[in-house]
Amino acid sequence: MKNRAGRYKLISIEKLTGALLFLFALLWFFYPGEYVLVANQDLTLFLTTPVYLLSFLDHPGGLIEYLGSLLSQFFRFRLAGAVVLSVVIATGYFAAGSLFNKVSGKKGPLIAGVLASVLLIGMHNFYPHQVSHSLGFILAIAMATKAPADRSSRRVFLAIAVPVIYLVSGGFVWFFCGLVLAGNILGRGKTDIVSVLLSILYPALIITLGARFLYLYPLNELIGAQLPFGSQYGYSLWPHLFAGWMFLMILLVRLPIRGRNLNPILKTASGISLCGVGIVMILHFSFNRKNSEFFAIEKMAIGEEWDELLKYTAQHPSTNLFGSFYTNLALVKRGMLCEALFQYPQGFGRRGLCFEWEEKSEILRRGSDFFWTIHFVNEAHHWAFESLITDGFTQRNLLRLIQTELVRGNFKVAEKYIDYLGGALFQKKMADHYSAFLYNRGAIENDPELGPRLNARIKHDFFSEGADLEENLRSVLANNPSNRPALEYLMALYLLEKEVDKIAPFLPGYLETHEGRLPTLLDESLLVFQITHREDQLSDIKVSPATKMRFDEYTRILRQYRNRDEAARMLYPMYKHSFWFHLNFNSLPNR
Amino acid sequence: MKYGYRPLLLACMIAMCGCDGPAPLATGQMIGLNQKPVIFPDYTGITIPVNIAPLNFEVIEDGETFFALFEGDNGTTIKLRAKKRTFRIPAGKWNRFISANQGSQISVKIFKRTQRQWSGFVPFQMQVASEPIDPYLVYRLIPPGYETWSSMGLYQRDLTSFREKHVIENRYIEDNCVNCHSFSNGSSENMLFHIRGSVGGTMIKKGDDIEKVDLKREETLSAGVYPAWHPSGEYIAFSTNRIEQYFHASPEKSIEVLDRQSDLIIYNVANKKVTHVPGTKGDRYMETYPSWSPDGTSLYFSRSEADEMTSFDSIRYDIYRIAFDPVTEEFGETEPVYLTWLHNRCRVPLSPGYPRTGNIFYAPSTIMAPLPSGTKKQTSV
Repeated sequence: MKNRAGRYKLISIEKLTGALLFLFALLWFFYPGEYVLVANQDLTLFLTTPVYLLSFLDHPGGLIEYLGSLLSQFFRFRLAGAVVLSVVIATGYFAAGSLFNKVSGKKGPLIAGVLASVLLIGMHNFYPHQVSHSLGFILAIAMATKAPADRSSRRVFLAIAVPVIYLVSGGFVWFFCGLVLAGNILGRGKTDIVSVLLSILYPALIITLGARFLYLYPLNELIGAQLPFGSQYGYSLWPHLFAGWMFLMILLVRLPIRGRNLNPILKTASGISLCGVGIVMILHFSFNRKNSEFFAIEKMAIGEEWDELLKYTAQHPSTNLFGSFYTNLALVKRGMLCEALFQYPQGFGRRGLCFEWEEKSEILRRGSDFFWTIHFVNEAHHWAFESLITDGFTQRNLLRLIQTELVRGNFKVAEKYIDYLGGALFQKKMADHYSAFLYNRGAIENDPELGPRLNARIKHDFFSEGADLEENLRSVLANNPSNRPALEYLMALYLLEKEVDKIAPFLPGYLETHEGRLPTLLDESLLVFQITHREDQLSDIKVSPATKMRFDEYTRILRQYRNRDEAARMLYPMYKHSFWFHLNFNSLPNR
Repeated sequence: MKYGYRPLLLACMIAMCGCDGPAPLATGQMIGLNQKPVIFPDYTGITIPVNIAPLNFEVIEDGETFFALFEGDNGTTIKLRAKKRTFRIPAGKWNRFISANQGSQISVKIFKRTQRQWSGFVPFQMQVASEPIDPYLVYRLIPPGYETWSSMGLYQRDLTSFREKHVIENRYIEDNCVNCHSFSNGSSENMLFHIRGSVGGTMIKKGDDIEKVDLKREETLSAGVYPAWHPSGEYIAFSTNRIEQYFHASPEKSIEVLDRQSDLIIYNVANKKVTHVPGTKGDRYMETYPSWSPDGTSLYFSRSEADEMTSFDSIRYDIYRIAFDPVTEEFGETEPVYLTWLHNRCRVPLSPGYPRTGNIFYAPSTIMAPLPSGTKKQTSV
């Protein structure tokens, strides 16, 4: 009775631990780890068509990639995404635990499975890690658990499992074979040489034959297909640690360990302590605060929560190029760019306003937003299209392509994109929304998003000047001087680059489009201009008395301290956000 | 208007009842329409090779159901019902049908049903040539990006079926770009294609020998760009170009791709020597789009006096040719063939593009015979 009761208690602890891990992972990815969901929610557009599935079958590991693509669609919903990842983590725990139990021949230590699953969390905290990578690991572990103990059965099992696992998960077949090999070598009885050869040579043969006759891909690409290692994945230690942990635990559960007869309470306490320390260390070293902050900003930008974004970046100033870009975008959307530009870090200079062209998906994916904001539709289309080439269809680039084609009147093309969007898993409503604009210019004119772009159509053609932000903005403004976002950006560019002389001619136009009001930074630059150009003082435009008073105080303090650094220190508290401080003390970033 | 073919049609309908195939048309009064159907692609009035793959098409007309009747002069027919306005002709039936009507005309009658009423369009004809077409067409398949690329390849398509097979895909070559491809005399025995990127170069296949060559020389603007095989297969003319791309801001336009500099070179396949075509090196003119005459004694090309300062919409090309002796490898005099300034003074500005062999060159909307050799200026053609 006692044994039965004891075993019953142990099973409950296993499942209870799994449930706790699920909850822990859920909380983790819902709160601090939410950035993982944001980073991966729009990497692919999942289509519910046979053609989409077929597109995954021309390379090994395509099935697991397909499943990963499907699951990551749920990342668009915070709770659903957290649940998906938690299920993956909990499944990893049970799979690892089962394997250790099997190898040890009895109940293995809970810590083994717990830390394996926390290492999975650690892997996901490195945001380029995909769901498909974790699924590959779990599949390999689960299949390794199924390997029969009996020698001849195991050979047959390997003969069948290796090509199937390769087909489904690609390079994870090596991990599977490694686990089976470890179990074989460290297991009871004599090592089965045939199984060893099947674990090493057989997958190599399958991969080589697959490369030659089936997939027609270069062999070096197929050897590690889908594995989370290498330059494409990016540098991260966590997959290595996870794989290493699995092999280490297989070794440890087979070794005779002293202290097996320790007091159960002591054993439990030490196990829990080790678990705790392991969990804390893994999460501490894997969690990336900067990424977390950046993706929080991006989430708000995508959701057009500009006020929330500005509030957030005021508390968590971003020194990341993309964060700076989004902050400035939010300022423009709120008409505050020339008021509050220097209240946020501007270490990237003009690149923080508009990215320089680079054939990198991270740049192309986001760059279109700038051109769409300044109503430069063709260029917004250009960037979105190139993002489509590098990333494939995503919700983001597809939406932008639909918007630009609708504004440009290319309804047939827009219809094609809308149909495509409508065929995706969760995008039908969006597609229906944009369908209403097809062949309906009146609806486009009345739409708050599309209408202003239609009305600001470029009438006098020019060539987009690629890297020359200033030239592009000036050309856009020449077509439409009342284009407020373009004017804001141009003024901000000149403020950043201390081009007081270039600002001045635009001030009358600025006043016309901004209800006769100059923002603080332009007021400050006007004052500098008037002081340095007494013969041409733009006398129609008056600097505000408050700005003059502040300037008097500024110059008084400046004159007090001969030492430049000391003057900066004294001026910083009151004037750090002013144009004058930037003009005098901030150096321009390299262009 | 009622068609006289109605009794025949009725007979067909009755005959169809006994066949596998689409359901017969509803009996009743047929309305004759005074127009041909609008179809895409527009196959009306064309001549087709006897071995072409089925010419499936879509009907761009309002209607609930569509039916097509293909009739040959020898009485053979194909009957089809459209699926979602698209007629997909079974390959076997099609092959038998056009083989049986080789050298003669076929008639296609389209019928539509709207609210239980059938109506028939004016039939259109296609002429089936006796001659087959060369079955293979090679092209590059690429998502049409402007500056970036992902997967792409060169593919060959069997025109007698819908089979498409890759010649090379860029996944085999580190995702580099594959582009300009050219076949000597339309045969794959001698062919080439360019690769651009980390493993860039020009792949040249001559017989069973395949090698990658770098056509860039210190004195050339670039590696070879637009190719033209000499009919003998011993030489390849290339343009070398400094190509620039410009993106329009106006929503009506998209992109301009133009040369700012270009010259011509000749590559000797045997000794791998690269030489400039005389008179083409330098900035005085831009020469491009080389094309050999069928006998290989003349090299035709486009030439422009434009330079880097010329506005993109003012660049105009003329067609020139230069004599070539394949034995001595020597070039002769350059002479004009078509001068744009002379022939288009009073019209919308045109500019010849790619000269093609066969003693015909192509200018937009105009096909003209070449000037007799030795002619410097031409007053009329």
